[in-house]
Amino acid sequence: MKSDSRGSSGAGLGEWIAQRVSAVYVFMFILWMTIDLSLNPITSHSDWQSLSSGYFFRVTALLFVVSLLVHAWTGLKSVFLDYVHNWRLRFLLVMALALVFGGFTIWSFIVLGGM
Amino acid sequence: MKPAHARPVFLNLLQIRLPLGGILSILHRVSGVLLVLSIPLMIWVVQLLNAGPQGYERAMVLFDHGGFKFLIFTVAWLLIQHSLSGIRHLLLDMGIGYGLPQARASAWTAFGISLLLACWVAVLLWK
Repeated sequence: MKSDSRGSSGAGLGEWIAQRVSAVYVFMFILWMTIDLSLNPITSHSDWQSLSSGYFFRVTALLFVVSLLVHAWTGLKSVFLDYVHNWRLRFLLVMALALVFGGFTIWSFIVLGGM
Repeated sequence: MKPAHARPVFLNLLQIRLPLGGILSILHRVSGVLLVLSIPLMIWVVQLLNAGPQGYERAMVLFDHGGFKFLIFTVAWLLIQHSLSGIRHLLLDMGIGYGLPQARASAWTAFGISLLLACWVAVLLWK
């Protein structure tokens, strides 16, 4: 539990943890896909269909997309925090980033939904 | 407000000599930022694969294209480099390999494995 005496300390802890947890999931998913596709290469459209229509694949892929976007968002935000010191410009950049990432989220959900 | 005794700031990037771990760390950032650009590429390719047999054929034509292969290679290398320095950072977060010799050795290891895996990816792509 956060006590009031710590002020804003610990405010970034959630993002710090999210960045690491998402990193591990993204890594595991890519590793699993690399091994799986090496063992069962996709050679036809029906191969792709049978992979992408599987329930397990769709759920883990959805989690992958969410984790990847969370990871990229936290990473880019810390880059902005470190190098853009003018807060107005930084605010604009983070807002622009939020728009772009919102777009990525909607687009990837549409693609996943069409599987 | 300016402090009464401004401390000297030295930020000449051409003269600062980063230690190996520092080079790896900044490469982790650079590769991470560049990898963000591969997100729309990846969504687009999966969208193409999903667009029926014709879409699948178009994706296959793309995968055979020399320029696209080079793009895949670049993304794969960035991903491998970013993953290895990321694993090293996670281990350091857990307090593993904190000593200077160990940190140097793990940085060299990350570069070495990344180079080997990148060569392997190149062989798979252009064999």
